[in-house]
Amino acid sequence: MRKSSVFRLLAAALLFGGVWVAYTQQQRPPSTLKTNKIANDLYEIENVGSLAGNVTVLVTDEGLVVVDDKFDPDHDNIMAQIKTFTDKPIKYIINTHHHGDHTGGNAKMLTSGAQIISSEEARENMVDGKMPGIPTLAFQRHTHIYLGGKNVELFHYGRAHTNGDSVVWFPAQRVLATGDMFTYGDATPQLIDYAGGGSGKEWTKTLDSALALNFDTVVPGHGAITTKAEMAKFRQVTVDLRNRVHEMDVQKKSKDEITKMLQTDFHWGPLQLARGLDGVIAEMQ
Amino acid sequence: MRKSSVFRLIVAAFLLGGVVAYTQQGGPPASKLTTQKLADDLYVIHNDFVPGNTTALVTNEGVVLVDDKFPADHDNIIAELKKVTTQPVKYVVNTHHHFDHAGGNVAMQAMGAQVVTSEQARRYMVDIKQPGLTNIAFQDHMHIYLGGKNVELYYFGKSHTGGDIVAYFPDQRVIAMGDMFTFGDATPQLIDYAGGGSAKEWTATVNRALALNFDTVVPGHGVVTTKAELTKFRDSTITLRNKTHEMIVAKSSRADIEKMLRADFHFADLHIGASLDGMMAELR
Repeated sequence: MRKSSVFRLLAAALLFGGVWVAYTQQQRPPSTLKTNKIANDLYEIENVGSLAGNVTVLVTDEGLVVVDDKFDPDHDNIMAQIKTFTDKPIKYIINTHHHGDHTGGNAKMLTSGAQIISSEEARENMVDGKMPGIPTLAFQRHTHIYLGGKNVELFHYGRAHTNGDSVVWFPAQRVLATGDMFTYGDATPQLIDYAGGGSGKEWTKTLDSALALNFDTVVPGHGAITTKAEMAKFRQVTVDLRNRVHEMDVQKKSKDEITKMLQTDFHWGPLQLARGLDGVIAEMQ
Repeated sequence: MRKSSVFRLIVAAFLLGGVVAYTQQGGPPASKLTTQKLADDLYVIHNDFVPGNTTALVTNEGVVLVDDKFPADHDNIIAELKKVTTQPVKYVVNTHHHFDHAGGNVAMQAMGAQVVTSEQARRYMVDIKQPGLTNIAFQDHMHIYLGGKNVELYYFGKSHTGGDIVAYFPDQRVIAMGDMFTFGDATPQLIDYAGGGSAKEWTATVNRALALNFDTVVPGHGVVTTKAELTKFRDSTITLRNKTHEMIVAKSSRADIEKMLRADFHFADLHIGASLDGMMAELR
Protein backbone atom coordinates (compact mmCIF):
# COMPACT_ATOMS: atom_id res chain seq x y z
CA MET A 1 0.00 0.00 0.00
CA ARG A 2 1.56 3.28 -1.04
CA LYS A 3 1.79 6.17 1.38
CA SER A 4 -0.57 8.36 -0.63
CA SER A 5 -3.25 5.68 -0.55
CA VAL A 6 -2.80 5.30 3.15
CA PHE A 7 -3.19 9.05 3.54
CA ARG A 8 -6.30 9.12 1.40
CA LEU A 9 -7.79 6.28 3.38
CA LEU A 10 -6.95 7.95 6.64
CA ALA A 11 -8.56 11.15 5.47
CA ALA A 12 -11.64 9.25 4.37
CA ALA A 13 -11.60 7.41 7.66
CA LEU A 14 -11.67 10.61 9.62
CA LEU A 15 -14.56 11.84 7.53
CA PHE A 16 -16.55 8.69 7.94
CA GLY A 17 -15.40 8.15 11.48
CA GLY A 18 -17.62 5.56 13.04
CA VAL A 19 -18.05 3.18 10.15
CA TRP A 20 -14.39 3.17 9.34
CA VAL A 21 -13.31 2.48 12.87
CA ALA A 22 -15.75 -0.39 12.86
CA TYR A 23 -13.99 -1.93 9.89
CA THR A 24 -10.49 -1.80 11.29
CA GLN A 25 -9.05 -3.85 14.08
CA GLN A 26 -9.99 -1.62 16.96
CA GLN A 27 -11.51 -3.14 20.02
CA ARG A 28 -15.12 -3.94 19.42
CA PRO A 29 -17.70 -6.01 21.20
CA PRO A 30 -17.99 -9.56 19.85
CA SER A 31 -20.77 -10.20 17.34
CA THR A 32 -23.82 -12.27 18.12
CA LEU A 33 -23.40 -15.46 16.13
CA LYS A 34 -25.78 -18.04 14.75
CA THR A 35 -25.05 -21.35 12.99
CA ASN A 36 -26.79 -22.59 9.85
CA LYS A 37 -26.45 -26.17 8.65
CA ILE A 38 -25.86 -26.43 4.90
CA ALA A 39 -25.09 -30.17 4.66
CA ASN A 40 -24.39 -32.98 7.11
CA ASP A 41 -20.76 -31.93 7.29
CA LEU A 42 -20.96 -28.26 6.33
CA TYR A 43 -22.01 -25.30 8.45
CA GLU A 44 -22.07 -21.55 8.20
CA ILE A 45 -21.62 -19.21 11.15
CA GLU A 46 -23.30 -15.90 10.47
CA ASN A 47 -23.47 -12.83 12.63
CA VAL A 48 -26.49 -10.77 13.43
CA GLY A 49 -26.20 -7.08 12.63
CA SER A 50 -22.43 -6.76 12.58
CA LEU A 51 -19.75 -6.22 9.96
CA ALA A 52 -17.88 -9.48 10.46
CA GLY A 53 -17.70 -11.83 7.47
CA ASN A 54 -19.42 -15.20 7.25
CA VAL A 55 -17.57 -18.28 8.45
CA THR A 56 -17.94 -21.69 6.76
CA VAL A 57 -16.96 -24.91 8.53
CA LEU A 58 -16.33 -28.32 6.93
CA VAL A 59 -16.37 -31.18 9.43
CA THR A 60 -14.25 -34.29 8.83
CA ASP A 61 -13.15 -37.19 11.04
CA GLU A 62 -9.66 -35.72 11.14
CA GLY A 63 -10.58 -32.13 11.92
CA LEU A 64 -12.13 -28.98 10.52
CA VAL A 65 -11.50 -26.73 7.57
CA VAL A 66 -12.77 -23.23 8.34
CA VAL A 67 -13.23 -20.42 5.84
CA ASP A 68 -12.55 -16.99 7.39
CA ASP A 69 -12.47 -16.23 11.11
CA LYS A 70 -14.17 -12.83 11.57
CA PHE A 71 -12.73 -10.22 13.96
CA ASP A 72 -10.41 -11.05 16.83
CA PRO A 73 -13.08 -10.55 19.56
CA ASP A 74 -15.34 -13.03 17.75
CA HIS A 75 -12.92 -15.91 18.32
CA ASP A 76 -14.42 -17.33 21.50
CA ASN A 77 -17.91 -17.15 20.10
CA ILE A 78 -16.86 -18.89 16.88
CA MET A 79 -15.34 -21.68 18.96
CA ALA A 80 -18.52 -21.89 21.04
CA GLN A 81 -20.68 -22.14 17.90
CA ILE A 82 -18.42 -24.87 16.48
CA LYS A 83 -18.69 -26.82 19.77
CA THR A 84 -22.45 -27.07 19.22
CA PHE A 85 -21.95 -29.41 16.25
CA THR A 86 -18.49 -30.98 16.56
CA ASP A 87 -15.65 -31.58 18.99
CA LYS A 88 -13.02 -31.87 16.25
CA PRO A 89 -10.10 -29.42 16.24
CA ILE A 90 -9.57 -26.79 13.54
CA LYS A 91 -6.85 -27.97 11.16
CA TYR A 92 -7.02 -25.33 8.43
CA ILE A 93 -8.20 -21.74 8.25
CA ILE A 94 -8.69 -20.36 4.77
CA ASN A 95 -8.67 -16.57 4.40
CA THR A 96 -10.72 -15.48 1.37
CA HIS A 97 -8.86 -12.14 1.53
CA HIS A 98 -6.80 -10.08 3.94
CA HIS A 99 -9.43 -7.81 5.57
CA GLY A 100 -9.63 -7.83 9.34
CA ASP A 101 -13.28 -8.89 9.41
CA HIS A 102 -12.24 -12.18 7.72
CA THR A 103 -8.76 -12.70 9.24
CA GLY A 104 -9.08 -11.17 12.72
CA GLY A 105 -9.14 -14.58 14.40
CA ASN A 106 -5.94 -15.79 12.70
CA ALA A 107 -3.52 -15.07 15.54
CA LYS A 108 -5.55 -17.10 18.03
CA MET A 109 -6.17 -19.86 15.49
CA LEU A 110 -2.41 -20.15 14.85
CA THR A 111 -1.80 -20.45 18.58
CA SER A 112 -4.16 -23.41 18.73
CA GLY A 113 -2.24 -25.20 15.96
CA ALA A 114 -4.25 -24.44 12.81
CA GLN A 115 -2.61 -23.87 9.43
CA ILE A 116 -3.66 -20.68 7.69
CA ILE A 117 -3.80 -20.55 3.92
CA SER A 118 -4.54 -17.73 1.48
CA SER A 119 -3.56 -16.49 -1.95
CA GLU A 120 -0.08 -15.01 -2.25
CA GLU A 121 -1.57 -11.56 -2.83
CA ALA A 122 -3.78 -11.72 0.24
CA ARG A 123 -0.79 -12.73 2.33
CA GLU A 124 1.29 -9.91 0.88
CA ASN A 125 -1.44 -7.44 1.80
CA MET A 126 -1.42 -8.76 5.35
CA VAL A 127 2.36 -8.43 5.57
CA ASP A 128 2.21 -4.88 4.14
CA GLY A 129 -0.53 -3.95 6.60
CA LYS A 130 1.43 -5.50 9.50
CA MET A 131 -1.66 -7.51 10.35
CA PRO A 132 -1.47 -10.20 13.02
CA GLY A 133 -1.82 -13.91 12.15
CA ILE A 134 -0.04 -14.08 8.79
CA PRO A 135 -0.89 -17.18 6.71
CA THR A 136 1.54 -20.11 6.83
CA LEU A 137 0.74 -21.28 3.29
CA ALA A 138 0.15 -19.14 0.23
CA PHE A 139 -0.89 -20.41 -3.20
CA GLN A 140 -0.92 -18.84 -6.63
CA ARG A 141 -3.95 -20.01 -8.59
CA HIS A 142 -5.35 -23.26 -7.29
CA THR A 143 -4.81 -25.65 -4.44
CA HIS A 144 -6.58 -28.58 -2.83
CA ILE A 145 -6.83 -29.29 0.87
CA TYR A 146 -7.48 -32.95 1.69
CA LEU A 147 -8.62 -33.85 5.17
CA GLY A 148 -10.40 -36.91 6.54
CA GLY A 149 -11.24 -38.21 3.07
CA LYS A 150 -12.77 -34.88 2.04
CA ASN A 151 -11.61 -32.28 -0.39
CA VAL A 152 -11.76 -28.49 -0.50
CA GLU A 153 -10.57 -26.54 -3.51
CA LEU A 154 -9.27 -22.98 -3.42
CA PHE A 155 -9.14 -20.78 -6.49
CA HIS A 156 -7.58 -17.38 -6.98
CA TYR A 157 -9.02 -16.14 -10.26
CA GLY A 158 -7.95 -12.51 -10.33
CA ARG A 159 -8.92 -9.16 -8.91
CA ALA A 160 -12.35 -8.27 -7.52
CA HIS A 161 -12.95 -6.95 -3.97
CA THR A 162 -9.15 -6.98 -3.51
CA ASN A 163 -6.28 -8.37 -5.59
CA GLY A 164 -6.08 -11.47 -3.41
CA ASP A 165 -9.64 -12.84 -3.31
CA SER A 166 -10.06 -16.60 -3.23
CA VAL A 167 -13.21 -18.66 -3.50
CA VAL A 168 -13.53 -21.94 -1.64
CA TRP A 169 -15.33 -24.76 -3.37
CA PHE A 170 -16.81 -27.78 -1.62
CA PRO A 171 -17.40 -30.02 -4.65
CA ALA A 172 -19.09 -32.90 -2.79
CA GLN A 173 -21.56 -30.51 -1.17
CA ARG A 174 -21.89 -28.35 -4.29
CA VAL A 175 -21.28 -25.25 -2.15
CA LEU A 176 -19.11 -22.20 -2.85
CA ALA A 177 -17.86 -19.76 -0.21
CA THR A 178 -17.07 -16.59 -2.14
CA GLY A 179 -15.61 -14.18 0.37
CA ASP A 180 -16.39 -10.58 -0.52
CA MET A 181 -16.19 -11.26 -4.24
CA PHE A 182 -19.92 -11.71 -3.65
CA THR A 183 -21.76 -9.90 -0.89
CA TYR A 184 -25.50 -10.44 -0.66
CA GLY A 185 -28.14 -7.91 0.24
CA ASP A 186 -28.49 -4.14 0.05
CA ALA A 187 -26.85 -3.69 3.45
CA THR A 188 -23.55 -5.00 2.05
CA PRO A 189 -23.22 -3.75 -1.52
CA GLN A 190 -20.21 -4.32 -3.77
CA LEU A 191 -17.11 -2.85 -2.13
CA ILE A 192 -14.10 -2.22 -4.35
CA ASP A 193 -11.04 -1.86 -2.13
CA TYR A 194 -8.70 -0.11 -4.54
CA ALA A 195 -6.00 0.36 -1.90
CA GLY A 196 -6.14 -3.41 -1.41
CA GLY A 197 -5.73 -4.04 -5.12
CA GLY A 198 -9.44 -4.36 -5.96
CA SER A 199 -10.83 -3.69 -9.43
CA GLY A 200 -14.35 -2.89 -10.57
CA LYS A 201 -13.32 -3.56 -14.14
CA GLU A 202 -11.90 -7.05 -13.61
CA TRP A 203 -14.49 -8.06 -11.03
CA THR A 204 -16.98 -9.45 -13.56
CA LYS A 205 -14.42 -11.67 -15.29
CA THR A 206 -13.22 -12.95 -11.92
CA LEU A 207 -16.81 -13.79 -10.94
CA ASP A 208 -17.36 -15.54 -14.26
CA SER A 209 -14.50 -17.92 -13.51
CA ALA A 210 -16.07 -18.74 -10.16
CA LEU A 211 -19.52 -19.16 -11.72
CA ALA A 212 -18.06 -21.82 -14.04
CA LEU A 213 -17.67 -24.18 -11.05
CA ASN A 214 -20.40 -26.69 -10.21
CA PHE A 215 -22.35 -25.57 -7.16
CA ASP A 216 -25.91 -24.80 -6.07
CA THR A 217 -25.47 -23.01 -2.78
CA VAL A 218 -23.42 -19.92 -2.07
CA VAL A 219 -22.04 -18.58 1.18
CA PRO A 220 -21.40 -14.91 0.40
CA GLY A 221 -18.76 -12.92 2.26
CA HIS A 222 -21.55 -11.00 3.96
CA GLY A 223 -25.29 -11.64 3.93
CA ALA A 224 -27.49 -14.72 4.06
CA ILE A 225 -26.73 -18.05 2.38
CA THR A 226 -28.16 -18.02 -1.11
CA THR A 227 -28.15 -19.59 -4.57
CA LYS A 228 -26.00 -19.58 -7.67
CA ALA A 229 -28.82 -17.66 -9.42
CA GLU A 230 -28.45 -14.80 -6.91
CA MET A 231 -24.70 -14.76 -7.46
CA ALA A 232 -25.31 -14.51 -11.20
CA LYS A 233 -27.60 -11.51 -10.51
CA PHE A 234 -24.84 -9.92 -8.46
CA ARG A 235 -22.52 -10.44 -11.42
CA GLN A 236 -24.93 -8.39 -13.51
CA VAL A 237 -24.81 -5.63 -10.89
CA THR A 238 -21.03 -5.47 -11.34
CA VAL A 239 -21.57 -5.00 -15.08
CA ASP A 240 -24.23 -2.31 -14.55
CA LEU A 241 -22.06 -0.47 -12.06
CA ARG A 242 -19.12 -0.39 -14.44
CA ASN A 243 -21.27 0.84 -17.30
CA ARG A 244 -23.03 3.52 -15.29
CA VAL A 245 -19.82 4.95 -13.84
CA HIS A 246 -18.16 4.84 -17.24
CA GLU A 247 -21.07 6.70 -18.89
CA MET A 248 -21.01 9.37 -16.20
CA ASP A 249 -17.21 9.63 -16.50
CA VAL A 250 -17.58 10.16 -20.24
CA GLN A 251 -20.28 12.77 -19.67
CA LYS A 252 -17.89 14.54 -17.27
CA LYS A 253 -20.36 14.25 -14.39
CA SER A 254 -19.10 15.59 -11.08
CA LYS A 255 -17.86 13.41 -8.27
CA ASP A 256 -20.95 14.43 -6.31
CA GLU A 257 -23.28 13.26 -9.03
CA ILE A 258 -21.50 9.92 -9.31
CA THR A 259 -21.60 9.59 -5.52
CA LYS A 260 -25.33 10.22 -5.51
CA MET A 261 -25.89 7.68 -8.28
CA LEU A 262 -23.88 5.01 -6.45
CA GLN A 263 -25.79 5.71 -3.23
CA THR A 264 -29.19 5.62 -4.89
CA ASP A 265 -28.82 2.87 -7.47
CA PHE A 266 -26.16 0.64 -5.90
CA HIS A 267 -26.77 1.20 -2.17
CA TRP A 268 -23.25 2.42 -1.58
CA GLY A 269 -22.67 3.60 1.98
CA PRO A 270 -19.81 5.58 3.53
CA LEU A 271 -17.52 2.56 3.59
CA GLN A 272 -18.03 1.70 -0.09
CA LEU A 273 -17.47 5.36 -1.02
CA ALA A 274 -14.37 5.70 1.15
CA ARG A 275 -12.70 2.66 -0.37
CA GLY A 276 -14.09 2.69 -3.87
CA LEU A 277 -15.21 6.09 -5.15
CA ASP A 278 -11.96 7.70 -6.31
CA GLY A 279 -10.72 4.40 -7.66
CA VAL A 280 -13.86 3.57 -9.58
CA ILE A 281 -14.04 7.04 -11.15
CA ALA A 282 -10.40 6.69 -12.27
CA GLU A 283 -10.70 3.07 -13.44
CA MET A 284 -13.86 3.51 -15.52
CA GLN A 285 -12.65 6.53 -17.51
CA MET B 1 0.71 -46.26 -13.24
CA ARG B 2 -0.83 -49.16 -15.10
CA LYS B 3 -0.41 -52.71 -13.84
CA SER B 4 1.78 -53.72 -16.77
CA SER B 5 4.18 -50.88 -16.07
CA VAL B 6 4.32 -51.71 -12.43
CA PHE B 7 5.08 -55.27 -13.40
CA ARG B 8 7.80 -54.18 -15.79
CA LEU B 9 9.34 -52.00 -13.12
CA ILE B 10 9.26 -54.84 -10.63
CA VAL B 11 10.95 -57.15 -13.12
CA ALA B 12 13.56 -54.53 -13.84
CA ALA B 13 14.01 -54.01 -10.14
CA PHE B 14 14.61 -57.69 -9.50
CA LEU B 15 17.16 -57.78 -12.26
CA LEU B 16 18.94 -54.90 -10.65
CA GLY B 17 18.75 -56.50 -7.25
CA GLY B 18 19.42 -53.44 -5.18
CA VAL B 19 16.50 -51.63 -6.66
CA VAL B 20 13.83 -54.10 -5.51
CA ALA B 21 13.26 -51.15 -3.58
CA TYR B 22 11.48 -49.26 -6.26
CA THR B 23 8.22 -51.13 -5.76
CA GLN B 24 5.55 -50.35 -3.22
CA GLN B 25 5.87 -53.51 -1.17
CA GLY B 26 7.13 -51.58 1.83
CA GLY B 27 10.45 -50.80 0.25
CA PRO B 28 13.93 -52.10 1.00
CA PRO B 29 15.83 -52.21 4.27
CA ALA B 30 16.99 -48.90 5.67
CA SER B 31 19.83 -47.10 3.95
CA LYS B 32 22.86 -45.69 5.69
CA LEU B 33 22.36 -41.95 5.92
CA THR B 34 24.76 -39.07 6.22
CA THR B 35 23.93 -35.43 6.83
CA GLN B 36 25.56 -32.59 4.96
CA LYS B 37 25.24 -28.95 6.01
CA LEU B 38 24.48 -26.56 3.15
CA ALA B 39 23.77 -23.46 5.25
CA ASP B 40 23.24 -22.69 8.93
CA ASP B 41 19.63 -23.78 8.62
CA LEU B 42 19.70 -26.12 5.63
CA TYR B 43 20.81 -29.75 5.50
CA VAL B 44 20.80 -32.65 3.07
CA ILE B 45 20.25 -36.16 4.38
CA HIS B 46 22.05 -38.21 1.78
CA ASN B 47 22.50 -41.86 0.91
CA ASP B 48 24.00 -43.80 -1.98
CA PHE B 49 21.97 -44.40 -5.14
CA VAL B 50 18.46 -45.12 -3.87
CA PRO B 51 16.34 -43.77 -2.11
CA GLY B 52 16.18 -40.07 -2.94
CA ASN B 53 17.92 -37.25 -1.14
CA THR B 54 16.14 -35.51 1.73
CA THR B 55 16.55 -31.76 2.30
CA ALA B 56 15.74 -30.18 5.67
CA LEU B 57 15.13 -26.50 6.40
CA VAL B 58 15.32 -25.83 10.12
CA THR B 59 13.36 -22.95 11.64
CA ASN B 60 12.52 -22.13 15.22
CA GLU B 61 8.92 -23.19 14.57
CA GLY B 62 9.72 -26.55 12.99
CA VAL B 63 11.31 -28.29 10.05
CA VAL B 64 10.35 -28.32 6.37
CA LEU B 65 11.50 -31.56 4.78
CA VAL B 66 11.78 -32.22 1.06
CA ASP B 67 11.23 -35.95 0.36
CA ASP B 68 11.20 -38.67 2.99
CA LYS B 69 12.72 -41.76 1.32
CA PHE B 70 11.31 -45.27 1.94
CA PRO B 71 9.30 -46.25 5.03
CA ALA B 72 12.29 -48.16 6.44
CA ASP B 73 14.37 -44.99 6.38
CA HIS B 74 12.01 -43.02 8.60
CA ASP B 75 13.67 -43.71 11.95
CA ASN B 76 17.10 -42.91 10.54
CA ILE B 77 15.87 -39.65 9.01
CA ILE B 78 14.49 -38.62 12.38
CA ALA B 79 17.77 -39.67 14.03
CA GLU B 80 19.76 -37.57 11.54
CA LEU B 81 17.47 -34.58 12.17
CA LYS B 82 17.95 -34.96 15.93
CA LYS B 83 21.64 -34.31 15.42
CA VAL B 84 20.94 -30.82 14.10
CA THR B 85 17.67 -29.72 15.72
CA THR B 86 15.07 -30.52 18.33
CA GLN B 87 12.31 -29.00 16.19
CA PRO B 88 9.54 -31.28 14.91
CA VAL B 89 8.85 -31.85 11.20
CA LYS B 90 5.97 -29.54 10.26
CA TYR B 91 5.89 -29.98 6.49
CA VAL B 92 7.02 -32.69 4.11
CA VAL B 93 7.24 -31.73 0.46
CA ASN B 94 7.20 -34.62 -2.03
CA THR B 95 9.00 -33.66 -5.23
CA HIS B 96 7.01 -36.44 -6.94
CA HIS B 97 4.99 -39.51 -6.08
CA HIS B 98 7.66 -42.25 -6.26
CA PHE B 99 7.96 -44.32 -3.15
CA ASP B 100 11.68 -43.67 -2.69
CA HIS B 101 10.74 -39.99 -2.16
CA ALA B 102 7.31 -40.30 -0.52
CA GLY B 103 7.61 -43.59 1.35
CA GLY B 104 7.97 -41.92 4.73
CA ASN B 105 4.74 -39.94 4.42
CA VAL B 106 2.60 -42.21 6.61
CA ALA B 107 5.05 -42.05 9.49
CA MET B 108 5.57 -38.30 9.04
CA GLN B 109 1.82 -37.67 9.04
CA ALA B 110 1.50 -39.76 12.19
CA MET B 111 3.96 -37.32 13.79
CA GLY B 112 1.73 -34.42 12.75
CA ALA B 113 3.45 -33.25 9.57
CA GLN B 114 1.54 -31.87 6.58
CA VAL B 115 2.46 -33.37 3.22
CA VAL B 116 2.49 -31.02 0.23
CA THR B 117 2.79 -31.99 -3.47
CA SER B 118 1.56 -30.96 -6.86
CA GLU B 119 -1.99 -31.96 -7.78
CA GLN B 120 -0.59 -34.26 -10.46
CA ALA B 121 1.74 -36.05 -8.05
CA ARG B 122 -1.15 -36.64 -5.68
CA ARG B 123 -3.27 -38.03 -8.50
CA TYR B 124 -0.59 -40.63 -9.30
CA MET B 125 -0.45 -41.59 -5.62
CA VAL B 126 -4.22 -42.08 -5.63
CA ASP B 127 -4.09 -44.08 -8.90
CA ILE B 128 -1.59 -46.58 -7.54
CA LYS B 129 -3.18 -46.60 -4.08
CA GLN B 130 0.04 -45.43 -2.45
CA PRO B 131 -0.22 -44.82 1.30
CA GLY B 132 0.53 -41.42 2.83
CA LEU B 133 -1.53 -39.26 0.49
CA THR B 134 -0.82 -35.58 0.27
CA ASN B 135 -2.72 -33.16 2.54
CA ILE B 136 -2.21 -30.12 0.35
CA ALA B 137 -1.90 -30.32 -3.43
CA PHE B 138 -1.23 -27.20 -5.47
CA GLN B 139 -1.41 -26.42 -9.16
CA ASP B 140 1.49 -24.18 -10.10
CA HIS B 141 3.10 -22.42 -7.18
CA MET B 142 2.93 -22.52 -3.39
CA HIS B 143 4.83 -20.84 -0.58
CA ILE B 144 5.42 -22.41 2.80
CA TYR B 145 6.16 -19.88 5.53
CA LEU B 146 7.52 -21.19 8.81
CA GLY B 147 9.44 -19.49 11.57
CA GLY B 148 10.05 -16.39 9.48
CA LYS B 149 11.51 -18.46 6.62
CA ASN B 150 10.14 -19.21 3.20
CA VAL B 151 10.22 -22.18 0.85
CA GLU B 152 8.82 -21.84 -2.65
CA LEU B 153 7.42 -24.78 -4.55
CA TYR B 154 7.00 -24.75 -8.31
CA TYR B 155 5.35 -27.09 -10.74
CA PHE B 156 6.95 -26.29 -14.09
CA GLY B 157 5.61 -29.12 -16.24
CA LYS B 158 6.43 -32.73 -17.09
CA SER B 159 9.87 -34.32 -16.81
CA HIS B 160 10.69 -37.41 -14.71
CA THR B 161 6.94 -37.79 -14.04
CA GLY B 162 3.88 -35.70 -14.77
CA GLY B 163 3.92 -34.21 -11.28
CA ASP B 164 7.49 -33.11 -10.51
CA ILE B 165 8.00 -30.04 -8.39
CA VAL B 166 11.12 -28.22 -7.29
CA ALA B 167 11.63 -26.71 -3.83
CA TYR B 168 13.42 -23.39 -3.86
CA PHE B 169 15.12 -21.88 -0.81
CA PRO B 170 15.64 -18.27 -1.92
CA ASP B 171 17.56 -17.08 1.17
CA GLN B 172 20.03 -19.94 0.93
CA ARG B 173 20.13 -19.82 -2.89
CA VAL B 174 19.54 -23.57 -2.96
CA ILE B 175 17.14 -25.66 -5.04
CA ALA B 176 16.01 -29.23 -4.38
CA MET B 177 15.20 -30.68 -7.78
CA GLY B 178 13.75 -34.12 -7.11
CA ASP B 179 14.35 -36.52 -9.97
CA MET B 180 14.00 -33.77 -12.58
CA PHE B 181 17.76 -33.75 -12.01
CA THR B 182 19.70 -36.84 -10.98
CA PHE B 183 23.45 -36.45 -10.73
CA GLY B 184 26.04 -39.05 -11.63
CA ASP B 185 26.23 -42.03 -13.98
CA ALA B 186 24.73 -44.41 -11.40
CA THR B 187 21.43 -42.54 -11.58
CA PRO B 188 20.87 -41.45 -15.18
CA GLN B 189 17.79 -39.70 -16.49
CA LEU B 190 14.70 -41.86 -15.91
CA ILE B 191 11.57 -41.00 -17.83
CA ASP B 192 8.63 -42.61 -16.08
CA TYR B 193 6.09 -42.59 -18.88
CA ALA B 194 3.54 -44.56 -16.86
CA GLY B 195 3.82 -41.81 -14.25
CA GLY B 196 3.28 -39.05 -16.80
CA GLY B 197 6.95 -38.35 -17.60
CA SER B 198 8.11 -36.80 -20.86
CA ALA B 199 11.53 -36.68 -22.51
CA LYS B 200 10.27 -34.04 -24.91
CA GLU B 201 9.03 -31.60 -22.26
CA TRP B 202 11.83 -32.33 -19.81
CA THR B 203 14.22 -29.69 -21.19
CA ALA B 204 11.69 -26.85 -21.08
CA THR B 205 10.71 -27.86 -17.54
CA VAL B 206 14.34 -27.79 -16.36
CA ASN B 207 14.85 -24.45 -18.09
CA ARG B 208 12.07 -22.92 -15.99
CA ALA B 209 13.83 -24.16 -12.86
CA LEU B 210 17.16 -22.80 -14.11
CA ALA B 211 15.58 -19.33 -14.30
CA LEU B 212 15.45 -19.20 -10.49
CA ASN B 213 18.31 -17.64 -8.50
CA PHE B 214 20.42 -20.33 -6.85
CA ASP B 215 23.98 -21.58 -6.64
CA THR B 216 23.62 -24.98 -5.02
CA VAL B 217 21.55 -27.90 -6.25
CA VAL B 218 20.27 -30.91 -4.36
CA PRO B 219 19.58 -33.51 -7.03
CA GLY B 220 16.94 -36.22 -6.51
CA HIS B 221 19.77 -38.76 -6.43
CA GLY B 222 23.50 -38.18 -6.26
CA VAL B 223 25.67 -35.70 -4.38
CA VAL B 224 24.93 -32.01 -3.84
CA THR B 225 26.25 -29.99 -6.74
CA THR B 226 26.14 -26.69 -8.63
CA LYS B 227 23.91 -24.84 -11.05
CA ALA B 228 26.56 -25.40 -13.73
CA GLU B 229 26.12 -29.18 -13.38
CA LEU B 230 22.35 -28.79 -13.63
CA THR B 231 22.85 -26.85 -16.85
CA LYS B 232 25.05 -29.69 -18.18
CA PHE B 233 22.33 -32.16 -17.29
CA ARG B 234 19.80 -29.98 -19.11
CA ASP B 235 22.03 -30.18 -22.19
CA SER B 236 22.18 -33.96 -21.88
CA THR B 237 18.36 -34.12 -21.96
CA ILE B 238 18.55 -32.46 -25.38
CA THR B 239 21.25 -34.84 -26.62
CA LEU B 240 19.21 -37.80 -25.39
CA ARG B 241 16.13 -36.61 -27.27
CA ASN B 242 18.01 -35.80 -30.44
CA LYS B 243 19.96 -39.07 -30.59
CA THR B 244 16.88 -41.16 -29.97
CA HIS B 245 14.86 -39.19 -32.50
CA GLU B 246 17.57 -39.56 -35.15
CA MET B 247 17.74 -43.31 -34.62
CA ILE B 248 13.97 -43.62 -34.86
CA VAL B 249 13.98 -41.60 -38.08
CA ALA B 250 16.83 -43.79 -39.39
CA LYS B 251 14.63 -46.82 -38.61
CA SER B 252 17.13 -48.24 -36.11
CA SER B 253 15.83 -51.26 -34.22
CA ARG B 254 14.55 -51.09 -30.67
CA ALA B 255 17.55 -53.19 -29.65
CA ASP B 256 19.98 -50.72 -31.24
CA ILE B 257 18.35 -47.79 -29.49
CA GLU B 258 18.48 -49.69 -26.23
CA LYS B 259 22.17 -50.38 -26.78
CA MET B 260 22.82 -46.69 -27.47
CA LEU B 261 20.96 -45.62 -24.32
CA ARG B 262 22.94 -48.07 -22.22
CA ALA B 263 26.28 -47.13 -23.75
CA ASP B 264 25.94 -43.38 -24.10
CA PHE B 265 23.47 -42.47 -21.35
CA HIS B 266 24.15 -45.14 -18.72
CA PHE B 267 20.59 -46.47 -18.85
CA ALA B 268 20.19 -49.58 -16.68
CA ASP B 269 17.34 -52.14 -16.84
CA LEU B 270 15.18 -49.91 -14.69
CA HIS B 271 15.54 -47.00 -17.10
CA ILE B 272 15.02 -49.15 -20.17
CA GLY B 273 11.91 -50.68 -18.57
CA ALA B 274 10.37 -47.37 -17.56
CA SER B 275 11.44 -45.26 -20.53
CA LEU B 276 12.32 -47.05 -23.77
CA ASP B 277 8.86 -47.77 -25.18
CA GLY B 278 7.64 -44.35 -24.21
CA MET B 279 10.62 -42.65 -25.78
CA MET B 280 10.16 -44.58 -29.00
CA ALA B 281 6.56 -43.39 -29.13
CA GLU B 282 7.23 -39.80 -28.05
CA LEU B 283 10.38 -39.03 -30.01
CA ARG B 284 9.50 -40.28 -33.47
